[in-house]
Amino acid sequence: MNKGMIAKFFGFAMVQKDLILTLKKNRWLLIQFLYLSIFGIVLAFFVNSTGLGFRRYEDPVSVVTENFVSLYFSLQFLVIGLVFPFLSGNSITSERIDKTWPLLKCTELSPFEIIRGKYFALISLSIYIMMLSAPLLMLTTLIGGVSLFSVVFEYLIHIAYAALICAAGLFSSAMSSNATRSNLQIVAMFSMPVLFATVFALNAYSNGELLSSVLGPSSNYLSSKEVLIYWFLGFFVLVAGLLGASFSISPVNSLRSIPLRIYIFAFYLFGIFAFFELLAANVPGSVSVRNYSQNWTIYMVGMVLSSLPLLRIAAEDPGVPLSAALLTKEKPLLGRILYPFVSGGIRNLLFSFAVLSLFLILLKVGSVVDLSKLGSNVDSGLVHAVMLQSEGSFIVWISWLCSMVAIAWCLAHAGFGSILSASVTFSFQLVLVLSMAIVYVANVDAVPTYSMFSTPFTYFLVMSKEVFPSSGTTMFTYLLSRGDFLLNTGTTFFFIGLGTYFGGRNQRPLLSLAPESRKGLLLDPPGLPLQEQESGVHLSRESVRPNEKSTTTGGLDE
Amino acid sequence: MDINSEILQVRNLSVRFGKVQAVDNVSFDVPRGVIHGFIGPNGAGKTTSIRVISTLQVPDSGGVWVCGYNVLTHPAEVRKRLGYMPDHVGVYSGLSVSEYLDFFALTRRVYGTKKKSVLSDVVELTDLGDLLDREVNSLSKGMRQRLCLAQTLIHEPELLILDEPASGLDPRARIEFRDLILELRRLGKTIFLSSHILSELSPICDSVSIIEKGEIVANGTLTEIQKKLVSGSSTFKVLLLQAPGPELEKFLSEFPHLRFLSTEGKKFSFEWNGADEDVSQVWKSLSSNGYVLSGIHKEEDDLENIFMSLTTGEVQ
Repeated sequence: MNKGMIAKFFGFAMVQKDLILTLKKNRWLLIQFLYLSIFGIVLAFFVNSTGLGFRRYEDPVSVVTENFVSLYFSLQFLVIGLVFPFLSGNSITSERIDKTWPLLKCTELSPFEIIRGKYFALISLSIYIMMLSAPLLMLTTLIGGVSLFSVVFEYLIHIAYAALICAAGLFSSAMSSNATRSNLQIVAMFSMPVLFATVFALNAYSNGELLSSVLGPSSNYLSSKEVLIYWFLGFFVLVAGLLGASFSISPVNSLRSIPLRIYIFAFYLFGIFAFFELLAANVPGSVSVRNYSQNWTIYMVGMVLSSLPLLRIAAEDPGVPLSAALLTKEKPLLGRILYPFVSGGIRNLLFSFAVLSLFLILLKVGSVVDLSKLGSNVDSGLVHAVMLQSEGSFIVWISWLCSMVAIAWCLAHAGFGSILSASVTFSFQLVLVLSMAIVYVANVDAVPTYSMFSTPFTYFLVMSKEVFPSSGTTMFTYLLSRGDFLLNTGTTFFFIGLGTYFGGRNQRPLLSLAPESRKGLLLDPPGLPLQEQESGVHLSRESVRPNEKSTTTGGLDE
Repeated sequence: MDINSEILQVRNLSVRFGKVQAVDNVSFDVPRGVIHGFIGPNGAGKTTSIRVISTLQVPDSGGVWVCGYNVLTHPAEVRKRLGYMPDHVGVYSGLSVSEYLDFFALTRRVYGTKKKSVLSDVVELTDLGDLLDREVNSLSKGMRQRLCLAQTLIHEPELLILDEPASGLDPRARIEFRDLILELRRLGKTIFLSSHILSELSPICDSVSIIEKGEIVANGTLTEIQKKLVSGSSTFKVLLLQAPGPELEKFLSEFPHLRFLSTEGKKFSFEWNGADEDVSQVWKSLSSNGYVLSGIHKEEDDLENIFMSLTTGEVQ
């Protein structure tokens, strides 16, 4: 690896520029001051409250150290959650506002390199600010109560937390064209996850524990496998943020969809297997029917959110990106391999379906659960019935998401913009979910929780029929009895048909990778210069089409 | 990839923003080593066309080739050969001039000793040597323009795209900037210059394209356009010693290639369609009929006149 390659990998140009710019700003001085003030205040309050240095304290030294370190880290966690969303969330927006963005895009830096550079700069800043207090905190380990390893690991967790926030912040920034939108988006994107993470962290810290005891290799609560899964998921989310940001700043005629789609597919696959592992590991012996059912409910809530990127993909521009068409022409084998991941046409729909179908793997959970290990007070027949019922409603759920995806795809082919198509469909879905949530709240005793995430058809069916099938009923006969499954499937096919019709009418490519949607673009180099073709100066409002025959879409259609 | 003698080729370029057709079927060529002016009123489609040429915008139809490379299919190759200076120069206000140039050198993959020598050349050319330690936000508009031009030169591009480079500059800065552009042409660069300040362009441009309402209304060298525009006719303004009477118009109507235009006091004007050397017959006849000629002026069509003749001033 030579210097140039290293510089390219780390986006060294961007790292250098961003670090110089940030470190020179007064705002950064203020952040450092704020951070060190927190450290000082914590120390002062802690000394005061424990009477350290003034009188003999009651607790052993180790407990005092433990409390101090926990208190410090809890405040640091808060500062990261407050500072870094805004620092990262304005990273690209500020370039747009300062009008330096066109200059940057005209350089030889690729979109991913720009994002990488900005990301490494942000990570460097987060490490820098955290390390300000590190020497003093390390000294506390000499007193005892907290090991050096746990402090180092705690720092690592905090850096990982900052890294996650920075990746998501960059994504938000890449999608925003102005500061107001960016800041609003940051608040919308970060308030829930940051609040959740903060509550989770503060809960641990208030018990005198460090996060390393929860998420570390020797976790008190999770198995090593579970710890690994959580770290992997965190890493996936981080990569998603960076890829999403690169996607947002890449030109539309590039191959930007391919890495993102491959990533999304891998992410869902991993998430499903992770859940599969956790659910299967948790059910036998340790849980009741209620727990099992709750797991499924949580998963379905997750699916509501997961449908958003899939709707966005389904509603992507039906046209084939020019670079994809060229890739297929120049490297046919590679083109064939990457075909499912290229945006445009029916692939937008099929990719979303393929990801949704991954969820079917979860139906295998039932066979992994060892019912014999359930406690003697648990009715295994009832557990089996709940499983069947959950799985049945799960398939209905997938069918519903498929119908939503088909609607989004159809709207995109009808000529709506991709964001509009996805938003309209998602809003429609939200209205249905909210309606069913109201129905659920009004009839909380009669209707199972999952009904709020299904179509209104379910409600009427559930209200009028026996909720759980008998244990002898197979899942498929149960499905057939579910009208909403049929309704969703019918809707899916209807909108696929309608989308195909619109696509044909608007001359959108359905299967091919030829750039029909960009028919007017000229790709082959023009033959003769304009002057020679026109025999003299051109002086009219009607433009000439030089060498029209040789400057059509090139050999791409062939 | 064919490298044509034309460094920039634009064919049937069209860009639409919603209902507005910003650029409509625009075609023109720019040969190597010239200064080509891209002229049009505000809102004519200059910046949109330039954004497509600079790989910043995907057109709806048509094509653009820079050094034979299509901007859509080979944007990276185009960027290597092109230096772009936007109409609103954005600068990183926290950086010093040397840090700014250093950053753009890295973005252009210019490293190590090569970076040092290239930056020193560019600094010398743009006369930024005394400003290297100054912060960019403390520079005047003219200095910022020079700094931005310097960053476009770091990777030694063949084609420079300058969008309204002289706007907002004081007269001295304009002259300095114009000299810099002429120096760059001398060094073999091709310069594609957009502006609506015609007095800036006419002394330095080898050829022009005039755009209005998204369409090219004239394209070629100034002489070619002049010839085409006036269709071989010239306008003469004559000053007599005494104010002529109404009989003058009748007298002049006898000349077959002459069209009388107007009189104003001692002055009168006419359009001449014949050969320039034949107009001497008019002077002789006037003198022999008692008209004493005090002065003769043949009107030349400069860029401003051409622009005014070809454009209506309407924007989209």
